[in-house]
Amino acid sequence: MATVRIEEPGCRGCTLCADLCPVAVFALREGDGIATVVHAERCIGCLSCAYACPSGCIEVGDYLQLRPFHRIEGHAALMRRFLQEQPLADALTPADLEEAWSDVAARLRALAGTVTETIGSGYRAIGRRAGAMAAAHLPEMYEEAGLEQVLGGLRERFSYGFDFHLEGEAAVLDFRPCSLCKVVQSTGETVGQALLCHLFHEYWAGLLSAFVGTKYRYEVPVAGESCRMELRPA
Amino acid sequence: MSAKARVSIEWLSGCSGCELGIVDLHEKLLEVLDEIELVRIPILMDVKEYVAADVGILTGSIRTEHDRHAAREMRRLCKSILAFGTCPVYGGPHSSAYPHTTDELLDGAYRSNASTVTSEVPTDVPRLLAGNRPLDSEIEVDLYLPGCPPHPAFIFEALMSLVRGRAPGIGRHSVCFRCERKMVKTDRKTLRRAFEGEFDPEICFLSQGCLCFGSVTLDRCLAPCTKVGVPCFSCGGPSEPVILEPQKDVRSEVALRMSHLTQIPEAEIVAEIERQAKTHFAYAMASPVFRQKPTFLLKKWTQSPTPAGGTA
Amino acid sequence: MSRTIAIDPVTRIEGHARVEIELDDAGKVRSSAFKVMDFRGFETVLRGMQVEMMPTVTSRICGT
Ligand code: SF4
Ligand code: SF4
Ligand code: SF4
Repeated sequence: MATVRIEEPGCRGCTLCADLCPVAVFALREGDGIATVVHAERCIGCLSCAYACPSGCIEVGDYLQLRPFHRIEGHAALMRRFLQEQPLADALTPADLEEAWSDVAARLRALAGTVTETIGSGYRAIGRRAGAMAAAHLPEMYEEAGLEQVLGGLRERFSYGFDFHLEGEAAVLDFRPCSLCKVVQSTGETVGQALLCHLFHEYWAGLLSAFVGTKYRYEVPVAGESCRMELRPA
Repeated sequence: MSAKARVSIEWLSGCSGCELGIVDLHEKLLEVLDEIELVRIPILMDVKEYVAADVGILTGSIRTEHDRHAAREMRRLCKSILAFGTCPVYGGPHSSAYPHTTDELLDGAYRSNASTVTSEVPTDVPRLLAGNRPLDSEIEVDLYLPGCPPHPAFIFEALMSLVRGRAPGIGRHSVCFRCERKMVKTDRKTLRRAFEGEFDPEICFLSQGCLCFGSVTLDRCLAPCTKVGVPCFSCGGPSEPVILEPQKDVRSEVALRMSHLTQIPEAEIVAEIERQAKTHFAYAMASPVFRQKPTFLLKKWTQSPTPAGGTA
Repeated sequence: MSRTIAIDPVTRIEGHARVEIELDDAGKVRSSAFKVMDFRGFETVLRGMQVEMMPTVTSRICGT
């Protein structure tokens, strides 16, 4: 169970935590409207409150054990409740998706710019590390025996626009088209050569290396409207 | 009894307010001096050379070639380096030079300055670097204590923990934590500036439609400004979430809170903060913290042709 | 013999400065200069800032 604590005298009574918490952990005290923790046991560790609080006075502890939520029946039930109460997915229109796309694209371009400016050639290590960290958030994959099953699992999870198959030792990933393609082209860079492409490839190498436990190297023999990436154990 | 820790202080491009911050320890200074020996402090002692020390305290930012040289000498001679004040940590108020070239700055100060008689740029002084930079752009820093200047309570805790080799207990709260104003929901529909109309001293500025940056500023000050009727202008630099999370930034966080408390649309608040960027990002504009978020557009905002002006 | 006396840096003041005094052969002062070493560009920095922030920003020109 996570711990949730409000540190005195920080609460300014803005009600953000009470309004944002998806599982109603907080209540506002009668009279002065100061937030109090009434149902810490419900906390799903989303940290919305801790980030939203203007004073930074909410401390959520021991929440890592709650992750991943979906693996614990009680939390899965909470998530279902959460999703039913806020049926966001139904309310999305094509215009929303277009807006989301341009927002993500802008962020990705910003990320590439920042990485170039601050990290330079160290970006490969960052991409790889990001892949390894993402692997930790897909724990069910660890239970898959062997590369083929891992790829099967990944195929299921990332079915949109990706295809994965094995050619001997090599894991072959086909992206048709890769979602980064449009982003990269919008900056006038060549698909396959852009920093974002390299980061993404390193990310996959990191992800697969973490699952299989061996270091993987990659090649990208085809890049453009569709890309092919081949990962081989180093 | 073990020997006192040797502390050496040097200032780079700053205002010396941080040195006064140390003096503001008042009688607590005696307690500090029981444990440390000041071996170099230019504002008090005539020591011209750099000397070996356990702790090197640097105030001010890196602006000139001399600053860079001084920082390197301090790093070479001191076992640990404390970046003391917002200038060495984030660049300080003159970070707002970010949208200008060095030549524009020199022009504004010497060549086309209406209030001075000289029109020549001085020579035989340390050359200016291309921009204003935080200390860790030049040397490795062991400890950071932002604040403009940091409140003596934090200075005391930082120095004592440093000489005693323990983790400082100085908190990760933002300024709202110590602000005594109450956040209440209001039906305010428009933004207003601090000089427009009366403000209730008990109620949060955001609730009253006035921008206040307390919620995105690290508390190293104990909120003196809002207690005397001045909205927080972020002299202590960004709060923890803004530093740590790429998707959180000063505009979005203030707008989230303010639109939650009032009827003012979030987008309007964001746009106003961008328009006033030169003021509200002033103290930390030189910091790479802001290059990693949508705030990488700071230069554009501060150069926008719309004059930063009132909302009236 | 002429010579130059330089005090660099001048300590126990606020900020960075150097004093140079040139003496002529007779030991008389030929010229003297007080040189200020730092420059932050406040004249330009303040332009375009909100007027209500002037008291707080300008007080950081010199903190002593
Ligand atoms: S972490 Fe999330 S679930 Fe837990 S109390 Fe905060 S808002 Fe609620
Ligand atoms: S978010 Fe923070 S300040 Fe706002 S009500 Fe909750 S505890 Fe209080
Ligand atoms: S936003 Fe400003 S006025 Fe409001 S609580 Fe925070 S520091 Fe105080």
